[in-house]
Amino acid sequence: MHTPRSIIRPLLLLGVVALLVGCRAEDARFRMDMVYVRKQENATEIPFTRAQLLNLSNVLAAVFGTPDDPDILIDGDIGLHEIVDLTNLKMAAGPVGSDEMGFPHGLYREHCSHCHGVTGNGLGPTAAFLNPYPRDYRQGIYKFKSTPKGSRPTTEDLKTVLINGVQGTAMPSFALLADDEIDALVDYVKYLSVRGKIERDLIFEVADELEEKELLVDPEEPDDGLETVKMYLTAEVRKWASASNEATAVPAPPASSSDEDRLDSLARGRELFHGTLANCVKCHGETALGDGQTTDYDQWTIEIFTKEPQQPGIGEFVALGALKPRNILPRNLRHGVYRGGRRPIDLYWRVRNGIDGTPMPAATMKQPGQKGLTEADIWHLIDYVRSLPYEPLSNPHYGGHEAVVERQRL
Amino acid sequence: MIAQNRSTLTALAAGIIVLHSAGCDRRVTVDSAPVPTAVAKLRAQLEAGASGVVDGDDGGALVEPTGFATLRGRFTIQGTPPNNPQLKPNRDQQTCAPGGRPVFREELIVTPRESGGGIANVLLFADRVPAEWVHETAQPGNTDEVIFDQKQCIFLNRMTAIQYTQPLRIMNSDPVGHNTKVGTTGFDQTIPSGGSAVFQAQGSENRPQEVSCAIHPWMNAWLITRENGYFAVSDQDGMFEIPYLPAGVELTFRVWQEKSRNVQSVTVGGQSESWSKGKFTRTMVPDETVEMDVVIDAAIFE
Repeated sequence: MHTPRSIIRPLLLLGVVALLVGCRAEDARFRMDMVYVRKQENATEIPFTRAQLLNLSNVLAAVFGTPDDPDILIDGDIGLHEIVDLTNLKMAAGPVGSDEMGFPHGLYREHCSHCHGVTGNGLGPTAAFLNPYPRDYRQGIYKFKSTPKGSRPTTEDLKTVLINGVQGTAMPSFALLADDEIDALVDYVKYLSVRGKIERDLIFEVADELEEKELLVDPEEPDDGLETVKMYLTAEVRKWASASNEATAVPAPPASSSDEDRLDSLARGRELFHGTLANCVKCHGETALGDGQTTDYDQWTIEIFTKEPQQPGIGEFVALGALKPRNILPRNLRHGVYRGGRRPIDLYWRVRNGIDGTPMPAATMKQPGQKGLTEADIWHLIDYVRSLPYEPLSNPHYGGHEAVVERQRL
Repeated sequence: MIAQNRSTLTALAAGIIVLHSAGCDRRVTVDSAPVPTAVAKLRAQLEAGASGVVDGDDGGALVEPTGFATLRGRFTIQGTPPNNPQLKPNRDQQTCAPGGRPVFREELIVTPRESGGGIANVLLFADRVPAEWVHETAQPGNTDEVIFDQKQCIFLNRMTAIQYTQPLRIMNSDPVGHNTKVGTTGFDQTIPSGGSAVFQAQGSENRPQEVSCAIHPWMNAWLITRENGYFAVSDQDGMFEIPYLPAGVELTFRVWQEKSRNVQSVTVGGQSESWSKGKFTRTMVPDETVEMDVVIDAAIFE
């Protein structure tokens, strides 16, 4: 083949120029939850207009700023400053680097965004390769916390997760970061969480309340729309602000002075585990291997993927960026690996409050004249669960013939 | 040799161009980047509005109700309703599907054609009625307990409407344990066999929440919690009635059914109406009883 030199040179030049200008990284910006938009469009059978989406995007930027320049709206007695510190946000936001004094900025993008995404939507570049998927902050739902289902986590809860990581997942420990850096990241997670929740609230407002094509905040008559925005913001900030008062107090476990006491507690725990009062066995399985209920989904997945026998396609949501649905599996209690922490106090919160966003329910506590668990029952369950990894069945290699026979029986 | 080099170079250049055009993230960004000028204007309005008076919702022309009226009627179906899907109760079968009895998701309950084809479990409520307009029989703050039971792994009420101040006592009349979750409210508790738990809603909702059970994932039902008592759920014959509605003012009603979700296109008294987002408006005369004969085409339940 003979190609004239006169063609090669321009082509090469073109390639070099294209490389130089074409693949420049786009400025970081918050992405709208188009999956949720589509879900609402499907529910109302009325599509959002471009103008409505742009209006939403502008309103959110006016309230929360951008990933490089976050802002908080202070309005009367309640505003984001109630729950986050703007200095912390500035430290966590922006591109990675440090100022001339050596103070870092861009901590979120350095440590978090590759999994959790710049928007906090759990859709960072690595997200699709992880199991479990990284948390999407935008519903304000967090699993491992001291507060009941439906409440926001406390600052301390988020800190604990950052410092300890989440065992058995890709979430590492950030214990090596300085205290003020941890504080900055916790505040930034709250900020992204509130921003994401308000975005969802406003999308729902547009879909559910407004007329077709009506803008959320009409530039000519902005008052009603802005009031709506503030109403949602205030409600969400209140939820975060009140979380610290909602932590479930943990009573001391019943005193067990002898081995007999401990064995009794295990026996009672085993009985509860398999009984209809606590119902653990239904999901964690007769074997406690977590094989009792393996077809359910978590809150983030169920949003796009229902349990219907006839499944409508989720292709449209995946095309908009949603990750492929995976079943949520009950914990295999024979490994002794607990994502929310292995301390008895952690297990207490998991059993007592359930795990938000998952099918793990809260315990129904005993009321006068009603069936339910007592505080002591919860500790018996914890004793039993903590004993499971040490049963011969859990370690067939070391358990000898007895364990093999037991496994085969099950 | 030179010619070979040239062709290699050409291929390389072409390759670079192809790779470049294919390699970058070129997905259509469906959402829009904010526009700085518009953002700055909104920001200024947000900050200025903080202390501004913004309570002029009705534009000054104050309308007050002149009495009370009743809205009642019936939802009926036109055409052949689709079959309800059969469920696969794969656990606790002795309780949930005794004798291998088939179990269906009763998402559309229609009385036989000869008795009029009434549609049960259609939700109707009046939206955004100011508290001062509400009749004493529908006042916010009702705290009467409502029973919500499950038996043979079926929620006995598929569509429940309550005022959010009302405690909902969730019972379990089965010999097996249940676990009841109310949508995204955060309520999710084990309900021991023969036991119960109380759900206390935190606020008013515009759309029903799905009630479900993680132990028996095929179970579901719907619950809406409202501020005032202006709501109705159609009975087995499709009949509904909301008494003591404010008259002389325009009211917005919303209609929802679990299969069709928002009920959007209907025929009322022979006239076809389009209820965008399931909403319609009526202004009633004091002491009037408005009869609504609402015919819904079976196609919207497909």
